Amino acid sequence: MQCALAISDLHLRIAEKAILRGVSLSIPAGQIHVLMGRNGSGKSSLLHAIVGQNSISSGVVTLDGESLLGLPPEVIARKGLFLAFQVPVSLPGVTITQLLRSALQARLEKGKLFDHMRFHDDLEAAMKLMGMDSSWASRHVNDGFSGGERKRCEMLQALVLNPKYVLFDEIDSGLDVDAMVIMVEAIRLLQQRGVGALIVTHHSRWLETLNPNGIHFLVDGIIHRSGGMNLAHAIEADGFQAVQ
Amino acid sequence: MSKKLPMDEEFATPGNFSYATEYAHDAGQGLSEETVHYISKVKGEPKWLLNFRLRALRIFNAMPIPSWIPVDLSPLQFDKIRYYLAKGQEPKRKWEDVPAEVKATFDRLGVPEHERKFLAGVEAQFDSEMAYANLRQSLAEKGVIFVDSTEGLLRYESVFRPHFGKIVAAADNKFSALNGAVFSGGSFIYIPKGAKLDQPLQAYFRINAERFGQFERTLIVVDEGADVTYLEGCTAPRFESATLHAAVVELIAMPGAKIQYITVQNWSSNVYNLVTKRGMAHELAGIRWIDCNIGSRITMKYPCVILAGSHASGEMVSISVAHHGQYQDTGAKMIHRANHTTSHIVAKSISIQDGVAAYRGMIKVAKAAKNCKNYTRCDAMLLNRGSISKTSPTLDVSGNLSQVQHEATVSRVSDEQVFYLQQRGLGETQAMGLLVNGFLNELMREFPMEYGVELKRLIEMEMERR
Amino acid sequence: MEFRMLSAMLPANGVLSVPTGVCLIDDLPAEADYELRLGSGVRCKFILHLGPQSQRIRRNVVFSLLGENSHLDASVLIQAKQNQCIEWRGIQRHLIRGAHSNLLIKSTVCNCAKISVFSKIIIDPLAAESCANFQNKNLVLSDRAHAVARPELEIFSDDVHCSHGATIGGINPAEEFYLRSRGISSRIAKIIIRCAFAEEILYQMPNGNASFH
Repeated sequence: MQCALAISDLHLRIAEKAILRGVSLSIPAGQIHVLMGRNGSGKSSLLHAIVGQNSISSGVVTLDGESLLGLPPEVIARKGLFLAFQVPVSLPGVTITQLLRSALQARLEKGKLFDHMRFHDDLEAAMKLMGMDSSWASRHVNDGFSGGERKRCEMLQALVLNPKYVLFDEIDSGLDVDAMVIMVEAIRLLQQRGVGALIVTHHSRWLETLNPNGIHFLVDGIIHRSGGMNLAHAIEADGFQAVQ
Repeated sequence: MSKKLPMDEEFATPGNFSYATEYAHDAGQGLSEETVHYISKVKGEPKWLLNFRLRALRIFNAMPIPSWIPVDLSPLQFDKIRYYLAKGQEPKRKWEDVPAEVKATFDRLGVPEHERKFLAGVEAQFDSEMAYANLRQSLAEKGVIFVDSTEGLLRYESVFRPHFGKIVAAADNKFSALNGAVFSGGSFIYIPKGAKLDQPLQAYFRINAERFGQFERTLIVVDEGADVTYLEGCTAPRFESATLHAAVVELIAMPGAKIQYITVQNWSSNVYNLVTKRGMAHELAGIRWIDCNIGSRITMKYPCVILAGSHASGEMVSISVAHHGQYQDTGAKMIHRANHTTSHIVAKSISIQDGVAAYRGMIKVAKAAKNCKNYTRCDAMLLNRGSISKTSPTLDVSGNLSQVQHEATVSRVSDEQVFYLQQRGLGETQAMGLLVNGFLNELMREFPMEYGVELKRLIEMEMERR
Repeated sequence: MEFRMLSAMLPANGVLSVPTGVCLIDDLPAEADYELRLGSGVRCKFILHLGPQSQRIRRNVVFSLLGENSHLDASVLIQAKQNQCIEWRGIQRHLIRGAHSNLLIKSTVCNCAKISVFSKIIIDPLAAESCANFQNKNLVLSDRAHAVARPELEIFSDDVHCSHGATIGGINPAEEFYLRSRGISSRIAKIIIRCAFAEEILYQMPNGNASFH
């Protein structure tokens, strides 16, 4: 069995429009990969397709050798894929604690009891890491949050839910430098736990700190180029033209 | 309700249970002067009360069913209802004396053993007589009276009689008239001046006979500066034919008194729940109605506060859930009759499948009343195509020195919200449950914790049925 | 938008199919009942000023949104003085998907006048993606004046955005105090607040509509 998130020849059509035209990508456990590309190149659609929001026209998505195609989104989530949304919806009345507790309880094996103490400790530790004070626990999910608060809240959930892979849609939009440092630290921590990541970003300036294992450049629904940090340096120097 | 919840056997078939009971007194089917004489005689009531009942019966017979009633009440055949059934036993004082079958019913209701001991005065209406009425010693020492209505009027006439029928007159509406004619059971509470109770007074209600209406009459008098919370929760077995529940509740808050009246209504889906609840708040007094309606086929209930003294306050917190075949017509009335009175209403409703949730409200500021304030907020959530929501508030204000404000919204759970939660690993039903509980959350907090937990479960169960 | 007078357009049966792109001014006499129908894609504005017509004034108006993507933006100003009695009954009825309607009613009630505002939004089962809003603000300016509001909703479709609100109250003392702190007399302050209150609707009216003054 191969421990990886593997996407192969993925095609996606939305309203008769070809969004993805044969994307292939493989992320071994614990690796960080970055997905770049212009607006409308299909980055967001790819992430949403992986977690089961858009029905895939053809292709294969496997997690540790097991196909995810056609599974309901909650099953894909429980198998270990976490999507940090670019603009997550607000859930008025639902507190962050409630959301996380329900999400963890949904993952519990039949007959097992939920460990409230441990949940409490994990949540507290994660909030501390994200620089969130205890009042955050009872805030309503994304309700009235600033852009930066939403990102931190998404990362907090990733830390507590402990997936196998995190998919970050626009990790850095709306974040100031300090907040971004916290995000990078969190990703490092996840990586130490063996969590892999696929990160969508517009900005090459974070690549140095992220030090990804691979960078993929999406153009019009296909991966135009893949490479390591050299690709990042080229983009940094000359912008997206460098790779197109 | 065929689907079973894995979480809790106890809640898998709520209300779907009933125990055989033998009745010593039975007024038979139908309603006549003889029925009223029979009830009054069995209960050993004084003449003035018999006259009250007979007058109420005449009013009931003369009054038409209100034209604005939104639903068909014709399945209610007044001549087929049994108006009085009782086991003919005195209310029990000790838990040991409570019949085993009644205890069995409590077990099914899930009242935990340890909680029962702490209940300040459990008062359980098992059919039309109190099966159990325990008044804890500390309450008696404070001079608190907590008995059923019959005992109240027989033993404490000097407190009972001046207030009885004064807030809700028999002629108020057809169903309060019916209640006046045949009432039995319900609570009478008197809290003396300045008394504060550490724990809420609690009553469990049950209907346990087919075609047998329940006509409780509750009267709560809270003297100056005193404070009480009263809890009433209902769960009823299921029956095949329509069951009528026409209760009357009267609250009197003397100057500076505070009354909080909490109801969780979960009658079975054939019950017609037509209830008149009204309180009068004197100077600096406060009355809060906290009301949750989940069950019944039809509920029509608009708790009212008459703000009769200056600086009195009235509050209504209302949750209603209307499932398939249900009509929850609930709301509130605030009548400002004195200066500087304030009222606050927040109502949230959920409509599932073809359920209808309606809010009907009335805010009245009388000519003589100045500097009054009201704020009303109604939010409705629709869960399915075909779910129905109605809002009908009336604001009636005289003069330029008061502020009255009403706001309402209607919304639904968005696909994006459900997907977000699915991405976190929740199933669709769980996601809906979480969102609906979130919608109701701020109001749930108003209920005592054990009720809150029960409500949450009931609502999750409603999501399963969706 | 082109201003059109309702009196010149309304057929005898009281049902008008509104052309698109107009701003209808209701200039009918004291008592009138009519229905305005908005077909597919019709966008219109509607303005009504109740007050100068008569001692007793009554309107019974149905706005029927019959076409997809129809759009109604309606404003009603009610100014009741002396012992005037003014009653508005209105229905915003959404019969098809994707229609928008906004109704704003503002009223001032002076002396011992009485106003009643009964307004209802009805969303039919077929009218998914409807967006309907009703706002009613009533400024009561005398202790003998009387205002009644009943904003109703009847929603038969789940996919809707509906809201309504109603307020009844006197002049906000904080606003009055602010103006007085700037050296304006209480009397003038009240007039300024009253005018500002009506202005939201008045400014939309065509030039020369001097009925307010």
